[in-house]
Amino acid sequence: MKRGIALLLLFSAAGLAFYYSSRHNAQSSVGPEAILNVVADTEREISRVPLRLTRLSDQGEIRIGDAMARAYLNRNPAGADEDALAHYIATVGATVAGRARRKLPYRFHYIADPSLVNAFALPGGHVFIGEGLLRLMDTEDELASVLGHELEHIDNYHCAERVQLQARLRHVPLSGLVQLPAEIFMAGYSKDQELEADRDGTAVAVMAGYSPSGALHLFEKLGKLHRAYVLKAGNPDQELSQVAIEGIIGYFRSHPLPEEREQQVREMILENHWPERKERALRFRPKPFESAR
Amino acid sequence: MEYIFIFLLGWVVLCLPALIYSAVIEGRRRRDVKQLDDQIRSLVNQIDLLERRTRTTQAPAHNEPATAPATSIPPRLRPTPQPVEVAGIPLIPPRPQPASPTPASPPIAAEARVQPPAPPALRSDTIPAAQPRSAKKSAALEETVGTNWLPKLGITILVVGVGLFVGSQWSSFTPWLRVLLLYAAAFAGLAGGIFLQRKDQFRVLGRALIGGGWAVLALVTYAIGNIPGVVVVQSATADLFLLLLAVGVMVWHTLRYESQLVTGAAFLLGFVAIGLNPEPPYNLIAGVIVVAGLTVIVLRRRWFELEVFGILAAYLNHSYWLYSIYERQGGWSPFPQLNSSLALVIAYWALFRISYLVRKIADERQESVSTISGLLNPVLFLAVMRYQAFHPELAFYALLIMGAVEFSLGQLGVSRQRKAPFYVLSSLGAALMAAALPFRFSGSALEVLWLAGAEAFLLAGVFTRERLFRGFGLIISLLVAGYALVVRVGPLAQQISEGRSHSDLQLSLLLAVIAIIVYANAHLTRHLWAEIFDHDEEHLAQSVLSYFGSILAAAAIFAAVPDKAAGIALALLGVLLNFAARKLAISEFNVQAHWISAVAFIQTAVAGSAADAGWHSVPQRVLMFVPAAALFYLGSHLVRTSRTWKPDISAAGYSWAATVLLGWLAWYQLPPLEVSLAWGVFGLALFEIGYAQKPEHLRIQGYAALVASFVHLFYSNFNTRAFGGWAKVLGTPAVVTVLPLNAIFYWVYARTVNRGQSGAIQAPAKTTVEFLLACLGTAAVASLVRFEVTPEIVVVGYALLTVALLATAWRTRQEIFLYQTLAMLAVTAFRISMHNFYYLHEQFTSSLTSAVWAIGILAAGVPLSFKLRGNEQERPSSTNWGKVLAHHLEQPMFFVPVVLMVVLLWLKLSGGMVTLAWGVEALVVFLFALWAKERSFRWAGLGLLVLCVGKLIFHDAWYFDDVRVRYLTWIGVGALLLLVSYLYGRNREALREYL
Ligand SMILES: [Zn+2]
Repeated sequence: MKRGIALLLLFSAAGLAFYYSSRHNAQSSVGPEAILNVVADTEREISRVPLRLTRLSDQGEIRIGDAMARAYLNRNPAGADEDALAHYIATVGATVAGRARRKLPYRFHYIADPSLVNAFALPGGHVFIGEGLLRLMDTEDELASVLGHELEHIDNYHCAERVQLQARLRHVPLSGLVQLPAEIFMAGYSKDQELEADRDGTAVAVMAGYSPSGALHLFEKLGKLHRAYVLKAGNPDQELSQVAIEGIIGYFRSHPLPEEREQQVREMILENHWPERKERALRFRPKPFESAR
Repeated sequence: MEYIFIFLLGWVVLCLPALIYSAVIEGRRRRDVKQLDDQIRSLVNQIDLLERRTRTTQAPAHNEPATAPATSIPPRLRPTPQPVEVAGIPLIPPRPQPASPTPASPPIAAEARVQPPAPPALRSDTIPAAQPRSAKKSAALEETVGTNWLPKLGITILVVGVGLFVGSQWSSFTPWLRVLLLYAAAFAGLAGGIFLQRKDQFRVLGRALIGGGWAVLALVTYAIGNIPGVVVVQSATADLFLLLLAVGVMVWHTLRYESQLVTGAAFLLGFVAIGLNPEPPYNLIAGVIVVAGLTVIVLRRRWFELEVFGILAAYLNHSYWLYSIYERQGGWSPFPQLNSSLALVIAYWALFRISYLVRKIADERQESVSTISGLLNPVLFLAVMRYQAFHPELAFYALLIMGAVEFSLGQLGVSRQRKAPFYVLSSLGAALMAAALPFRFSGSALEVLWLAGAEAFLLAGVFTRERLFRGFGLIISLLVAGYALVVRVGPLAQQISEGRSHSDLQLSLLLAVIAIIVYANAHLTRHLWAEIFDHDEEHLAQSVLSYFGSILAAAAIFAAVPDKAAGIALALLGVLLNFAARKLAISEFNVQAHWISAVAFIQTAVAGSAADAGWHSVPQRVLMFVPAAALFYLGSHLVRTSRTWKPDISAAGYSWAATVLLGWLAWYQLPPLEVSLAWGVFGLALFEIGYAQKPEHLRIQGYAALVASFVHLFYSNFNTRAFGGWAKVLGTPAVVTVLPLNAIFYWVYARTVNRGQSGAIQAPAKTTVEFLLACLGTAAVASLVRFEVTPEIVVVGYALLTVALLATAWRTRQEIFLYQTLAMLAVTAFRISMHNFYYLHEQFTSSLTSAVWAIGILAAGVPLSFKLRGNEQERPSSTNWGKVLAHHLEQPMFFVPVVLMVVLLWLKLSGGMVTLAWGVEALVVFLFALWAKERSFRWAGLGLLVLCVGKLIFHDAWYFDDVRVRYLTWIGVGALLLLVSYLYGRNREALREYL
C-alpha cells in the first residue's frame, strides 16, 4: 500500500515534469558536446598542476609567440589601405590590455579576410581579429569584448599551456620549440577555459570603460546565426556569403553555445551591479562589399 | 508463354510419378515372369533327372554286366565336367562331380557313365540357375541400358526427327516420291521390328521399332491429306478414312504382343506425330479417333495404365495445338476454330469419363490406376479449357456445373457399386464447386484449379485409403504453393523491397485462399486422419506445406494492407498463430509466428521511420507502434505458456521487440529533453510489472531502459547549462525532467535491495544490477550538478551530495553508499582544488564563496561520519586501502576539508593573516578532536599549530616589514598555543584514556 502510494507519487512527479517541460517548450541542442566538454575540462584540470610546475617563462613565451605571429602575418599580409582600421583596433586593444594582470607586450592585428569569422590569440601577447567577425559588429564595445576575451586567453596562460602541451606532444624541449602553426591556436579551448576568458575578458573591458552589453549584443547576434546555420531553426536575417557561413560554422565548432555565454555575462552584470553604459559605434569599419561584387 | 510453362510443369509432375509407377509395375511383372521361367526350367530339369534315374534304376536290374562296356570307353571320351562358356560369361558346372568314380556310390557312378552328352541348349538353360548373383547384376544393368533404354530412346528421337522432317518444307521431291519414301521408312521399321522381336535379345528393340513404324505410318497417312508438299490425297475425308484404317491396323497389330508398353508407345508416338503438325481441324479429328481407339482397347484389355498416358497425350496434344495457334495469331485471343476446339476437349473428357465409369475392375491395383485417370482427366480438362476460355465471367458457372456433373456422376449406381469412383467423383465435384468462388475473385488464377485438383486427389486418397493419391494431393499442394511463392510472392517481395506500390486486393485474396487451403491440407489432414497420414514423408510434406502457408499468408497481408498498417496486421497474424499453437499444440505455428513477428517488427520499424504525418492530431507513428507493441506483448504472453522450444527465450524476444518499439516511439515523438524521463518512467513500469509477475525479461528490459535513459541525458539534457542561482537552475526544463528520473533510479535500487534481503533474488545478477542502479542514481545527480549548475557552484552541489550519500549510508547501512561517499568526496576535493581555487583571483564570480560553502558542508558531514562509525560493530581489516578508507570514512571526511581550508586560507589571505588563520583553524580542529575523542584529529590540530609556529619563525619574522603586524601575529599564535596547552591540561585524564 505504502509502496503503491510512493509509486503513484513517482509517476505523478514525472507527469508534472512532462507538463512543465511542454509548457516551457524548451529547446536543446542534441549531441555529444556535453561528454566532449567534460572530457576536455577534466583533462585540463588534471594537467593543471604539472603545467603550473613546468611553466614557460614570459620571455620564452614572447619569443615563441613573436616567431609564430611573424610567420602568420607573412602568409596573411594585412591590407595596404586598412592602416586606419588596424590602428583603431590596436588602440581599443591597448585600452583593454591595460587592465590585464600579466604585463606583456600586447599587440593587436587585423586580418582582412572576410571568411575569417574568428579571433584568436597567440602566446606572448599577439591578438588577431578577422574581417568576417568584425563585419558582425556594430559598436566599439563589442570589439572590446572580443579583444578582451582573446587577451584573457593569454592572461590566463591558456596559450602558454597549449605551447607546453604541444611541446610534450612533439617530444621537443620548450626551449627548442620555435615554430608552431598559428592554426593550433585558432581551434578554441575547453569549455571552462572559454567561459573563463569570457568572464575575465568582459571584466577587463568593463574596467577599461566599455559597456558589458557589447558582449551581450555580440552573443545575441551569434546566437541568431547559430540557430540559423547550425540548428537551422529559423530564417537568417541577412544573407551571408557561403564562405562566411563556413567560417561561422567553424566558429561555433570551437566555442561554447552563444546562449550559454550570453547567460553567463548576464549573471555577471547582475552580480557585480555593473552600470548601464551606452555603447559607442565603431569608428572605423571594413569597406562595404560592393567593391568586391 | 507463362501458361505453357505451368502446363508443362503440371504435366511433368503428373507424368513422372505415373511413369515411375508403371515402370515399377512393369519391372515387377517382368521379374515375376522370369521367376516363373526359372521355376519351369528347374522343374524340367528335375523331371529330366527323375527320368534318367528311373532309367538307371531299371538298368542294373536286367543288365548286371553293364560295367564292362563302361570301362571299355576310353577316359578322354567320357563327358568331363568342364566349365562351359555361354554368351561370353564363364559358367560353373551345375553339380560338383567326383573326379573319379568311387565304389561307395555306385548309382551316381553309373549315372555318370550312362549319362549321354547333354544337348547344348539344355545345358545352357540349366546352368544359369547356379550362376553367382553379383556378376549377373552389373551385367543386367548394362544389358538393360543397351538393349532396353537405348532402342527406345533411339526410336523416339528417330520418329520426332521424321515428324519434323515432314513438317518442314521438303521441296526437292515430288509429293508422291516423298510419300513413297516415308511409307518405305515406316514399313522398313515395321518389318525390321517384326523380324527382330522374334529374337530374344532384340525383343525390346524390335517392339520399339514396330511401335515407331506404326507411328510413322499413321503420321504419313495423315500427312498425305494435310501437309503441303506431300499431299497426294485431295479429299480430307478420304485421308481421314485412311488414317482411321492405319490406326486400326496398328492397334490390331500391336495387340498381338500383349504388351501395354508397345501399344502405348504406338499411341503415344501417334499423338506426338499429330501434335507436331498443327493443321486444324483434321489433326483434332485424328486425335479423337486415336483416343476413341485407345479407349476401346483400354476397356477390352483392361490396360488402365495405358489410359493414363492416353489422357496426358490427348490433352497435351491439344494444348500444344492451342499454343501454336496463339503463337501464329500473335497473342492469347479467340480464334476461328474455337467452338470445334471446345467441343473436342469436352469430347475427350466425356470419352475418358465414360471409360472410367463403365470399366470392369479386377483388383485393387487396377482401381488405383483408374483413379489416377479419373482425376487426371478433369484436372487436365480444366487446364486446357482455361487456356481457351475468353469469358472469365462464365468460368464461375462452368466450374459449378462441372463440379455438379462430376458429383452427380459419383452418385450413379455404377460408381457406388465400385465405391472408388463414388469417393473420387464426389470429392472432385465438391472441390470444384468449392473452387468456383475463389477462382472467380482471384481473376481466374490457375492455382485455384490446381488446388481443386489437389483436394480431389487428397480426399480420394483419404476415402479410398490409397496412399498414392494422398501423396499426389500433397505433392500438388506443395507445387501450387511453391509456384505461388515464385510467381506471385517473388515479384511482390521485389516490389516491397524497391519501395514500389504493391497494393493488390485480388492477389491478396488469391494468396489468402491458397494459404488457407495449404494450411488445411497441412493440419486438418493431420488432425482428422492422423492414423492415415502416418508416414514420415507425409509428415514432412505437411510441415513444409504449413510453412509455405505462413509465407503465403504474410504475403497476402502485404498485398492487401498499406505499408504503415502491415506491421500491425502481421503482428496480429503472429498472435493468432501463437494462440493457435497453444490451443492446438502445433509447434510449427510457434516457429511461423516467430518469423512473421520478426518481419512485423522490421516492417513497423522501417515504415515507422518515415511516418511523420498525423491522423486527427494523433501522430501516425503512435498509431503504428502502440498496437504493434501491444500485440508483441500479447505474443510474449502466449509464447511463454505454450509448449514450444525454449518458451522463455521466445517470450523474451517478443517482449523485447515491443519494448524497443515503444522506446523508439518515445525517442521519435518527444522533444529531446523529455526522452530520458519517458524512458525512465517506462523502465520503472517495466521493472514493477516484471517484479510483480514472473517474467524476468521485463525486469531486465526495465534496467536497460533506465540505463538508456541515463545515457541519453548526456545527449540532450546536459548540453545546456543554466547560469544563475539554484532556483533558476532548478527551474529549467532540462533539470525538471531529470529530477524525477533520479528518484526513479534510487527507487528501483531500493526495490532490488529489499528483494535481496528477503533472499528471493539470485545472487550473481543481483549485485551487479543493484550496484549499477545505485551508481546510476548518484551519477545522474552528480552529472546534473556538473552540467547544469554555474561552474563555480558545482562544488557546493557536490559537497551536498557527498553529505547526503553519507547520511544514506548511515540510514540504509548499505556498503555501496560508503564507496559512493568516498568517491564523491574525492571528486569534490578535486573540483575545489583544481577549479575553484584557480578562479579565486576573479573578483566577480562566486568561486571563493562556493569553495567556502563546499568546505563548510563537508565539515558539517564529519559528525555524521562519527554516527556512521557507531553503526559498525567491527571494521574489516583489509589490505585494500579503498575498502579500509570506506569503512573509516570519518578520516577522509575530516582531513579533506581541513586540508582544503588550509590551502584556501593560504591562497586567499596575505601575510601574517595566513598564520593567524591557520592558528585559529588548528584550535578549532583541536577542539573538535577533543569532542570526537579521535587521536589522529588531535595530531592534525597539533601539526597545524606546529606549522603556524614554523611559518612564524622561518618566514614571517623575516619577510614582514610592518612591525605591528609581526608582533600581533606573534601575540595571536602565542595565545592560541597557551589555550591549547590549557585544554590539554584540563582533559588530561580523558586524553590518557584515549591515548
Ligand atoms: Zn576563446
